[in-house]
Amino acid sequence: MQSIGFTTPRSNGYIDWSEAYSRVENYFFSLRIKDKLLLSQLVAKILLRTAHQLLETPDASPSRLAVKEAHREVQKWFNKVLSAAGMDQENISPKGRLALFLSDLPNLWQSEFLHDGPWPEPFLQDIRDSYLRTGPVFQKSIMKPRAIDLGPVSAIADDAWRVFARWPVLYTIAVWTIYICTLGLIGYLTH
Amino acid sequence: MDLLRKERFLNPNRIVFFSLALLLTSLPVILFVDLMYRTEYEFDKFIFTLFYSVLMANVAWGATHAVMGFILRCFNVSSGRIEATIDGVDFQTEILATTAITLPVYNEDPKRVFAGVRSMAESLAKTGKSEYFDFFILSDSTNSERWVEEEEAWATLCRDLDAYGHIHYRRRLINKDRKAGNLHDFCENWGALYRYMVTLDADSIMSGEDLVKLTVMMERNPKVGIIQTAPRIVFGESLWGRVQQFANRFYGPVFLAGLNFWQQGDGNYWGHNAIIRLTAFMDYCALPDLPGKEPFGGKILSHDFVEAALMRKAGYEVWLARELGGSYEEGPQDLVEHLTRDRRWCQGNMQHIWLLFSKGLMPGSRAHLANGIMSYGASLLWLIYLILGGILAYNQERSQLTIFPRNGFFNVFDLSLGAQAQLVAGITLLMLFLGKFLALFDGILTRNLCRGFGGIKKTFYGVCIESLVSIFVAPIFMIYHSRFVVSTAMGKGIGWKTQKRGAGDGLSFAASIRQHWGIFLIGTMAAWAASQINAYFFWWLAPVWLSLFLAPLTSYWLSKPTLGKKLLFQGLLVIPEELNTDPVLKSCQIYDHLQTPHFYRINGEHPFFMRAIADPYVNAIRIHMAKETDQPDREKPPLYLRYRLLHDGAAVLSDQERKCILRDPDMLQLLYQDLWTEIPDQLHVSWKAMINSYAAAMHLQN
Repeated sequence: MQSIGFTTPRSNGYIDWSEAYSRVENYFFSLRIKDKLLLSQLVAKILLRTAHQLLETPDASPSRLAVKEAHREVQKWFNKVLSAAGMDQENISPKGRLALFLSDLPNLWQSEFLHDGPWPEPFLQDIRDSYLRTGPVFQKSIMKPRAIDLGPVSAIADDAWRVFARWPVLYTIAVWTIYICTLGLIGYLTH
Repeated sequence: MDLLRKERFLNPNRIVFFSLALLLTSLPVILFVDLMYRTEYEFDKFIFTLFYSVLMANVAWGATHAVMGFILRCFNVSSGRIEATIDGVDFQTEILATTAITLPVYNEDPKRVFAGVRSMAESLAKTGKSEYFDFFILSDSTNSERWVEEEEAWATLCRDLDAYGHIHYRRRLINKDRKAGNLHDFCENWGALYRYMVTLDADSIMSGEDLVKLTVMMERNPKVGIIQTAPRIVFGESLWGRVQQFANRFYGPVFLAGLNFWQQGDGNYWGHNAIIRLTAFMDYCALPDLPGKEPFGGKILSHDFVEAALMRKAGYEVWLARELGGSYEEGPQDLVEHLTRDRRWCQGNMQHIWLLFSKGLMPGSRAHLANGIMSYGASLLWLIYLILGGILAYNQERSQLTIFPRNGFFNVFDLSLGAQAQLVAGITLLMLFLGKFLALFDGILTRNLCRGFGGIKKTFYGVCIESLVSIFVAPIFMIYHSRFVVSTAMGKGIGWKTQKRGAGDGLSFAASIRQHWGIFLIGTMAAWAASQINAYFFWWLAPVWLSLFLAPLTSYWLSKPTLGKKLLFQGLLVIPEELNTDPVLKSCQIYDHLQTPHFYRINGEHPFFMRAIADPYVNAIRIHMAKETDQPDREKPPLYLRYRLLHDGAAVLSDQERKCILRDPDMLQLLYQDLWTEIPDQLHVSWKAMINSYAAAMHLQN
């Protein structure tokens, strides 16, 4: 708490620090960190570091610096945890976040979040086990349609269809013939 | 081969069934022909009789199913059941074959889809046989919001059930050949890994016990290619939804018993809630294109009937497992949704005309195809029949001649012309309602059956309500189906739409009028035309024109969940699944209604595209998926999109631009970083609201 006392009076104003606090808190909230004690400790830690940084760059926005610091801190922690779990370090940020999600850190391992370690083996095992694949390895087969003999009725219809497709005027004549015949039939039936 | 087919087709069951169908057709037709003969036969009456005969054959075909089913159930006669092949099996010790449970989805509500998958996976786990089953959610979703939501739901499900490697998700970039193409793609990529495939719809639910039973049935019957279950309609909310589920559940058993009696191994496939032998399916059931262009030709829309016919042609049997009770689906909740679905089905069924006379199909398959065509074609025939009846009445009225009936066959019964006409009308009505009566008798005679529907009295009231609704909607369906048939024949096709699930608040009256004003006009014109002929004809035609006239109002009331709920509280139109809910249904309902955290919403909806940028987990899932399915020739999103998205908000981007961003893992990662580290004042207000919503959600959870 000493750190907060140190930062607040020397900032550009309490509004800046209040915003910095909210942004860092939101950042951790988005990672579903619900433990209030852990959350306040983490936020205080990040803001203290930001305050130190601000001494070197007094014109910078505290809130922006703070959330960058939080981001950096999380990255560093991912690095350590994934390394301890024996996983490769490529694309550390998305890989780390995916591992947290799949190991259900927000519900099962919240106390391990940003902890310096060493971490319990079940936690590291959960991190190791978390992988996501869209499907098993492809085993390619070919589904080839077999030709269907549609029979004489459909063959005639098919021929007619092709003729109509080639000469649309014939199609128009056929439709009008049907229409006129229908009208003629109604006329015949009613007279 | 032909002889074999004839022997096989004309078995004793079918001889009995078709003889009965012929009898039920011929009785009203002979009476009708005689009636026409007595009033002087003319050309127009000949056409009128022809239409009546075809229509009565169609009605009698349905009634025969009910009569046979009633007799079989009443006397407890077993007539060949696929279920009998697993009687006495100890499922615990049974070794099953690998089975893929496939679930094609197309922009459906992911929450409901994954609630179904979760409940099925849990139900399977309880059987102790889940290691033999893998789920495949085969997405064809084109909406970027749905797509991201599906991925998150899938990842959550895998995590919660520890089902990595057992529940798979695949999204196609190009939706070639719609649902049939989706399953075709699955078969070509993974079909060789599995012996069986269970096909489901997005709203399907099947109990683990039934999934195991189906697999065992297939193992015991190597000549069977498909086993179709009889899905029960559930989760009806609106009056229409509840009427549908009551009809399906109460009348269904009688009709299905009759259907199974004649079809036996010559059954049909309804596209979902069925198990398929994959090697046979992949070898023989790939669908060829039909001659001509869509909608009448081209790609086969209603693939299921054709796949069953091809399976039969290849020598494999297709069975109906009508007694499996744990197979469910949802129905449309209002007339508009129902008709939208019918429009699609109608187009698909009309395409089957091409295949009706194709060589090598089994007669049973032809019967199924013909039945499917008639389920829509009959409406047009009914409409023409009614118009012809009007013309005859008009001619009679205009001639001002008195009819002097001559002697006909039925003179032996000393019937007057009027009495004979009433008898014909009475028998026609009886045939139309025979199925409902027999189902009611079956319910009364079968011990405890009505109890599941609220007791005999409430079941009777339920049948009355359902019949009344049927009478009111039948003419509406007649007009719409006729229009669908004609527009398909005229070459007007339809697109691929997502079926709406759930009743919501029902249709607004304005929406109902917008949808049905044409029907209202037709009803008004029909009433006017009938009144011009004579008062008798006007009142005789009243059920038709009144129904059409009231179509907007009927559609409005039928869509209302409040009315459905009122009836439910009164214990009316209830089904056994509501009184004694299957655990798999109960858990699906619980998961479907589970409240998600109070993250930022726009108009009550979670903006999943925005979450794919801002949410650390959804973003990570999307990046991972984008990398896994990355294509070297993928179009890179232009950098200005990054600026626009953060500064002008997601709403300014087109769906195409959103998809372009979602496919690019590097862009997604950059956006996530930028969003959280950018000066808030430079972000669009929606992003700020979204970031702040995490705090609100967490405070609520605490």
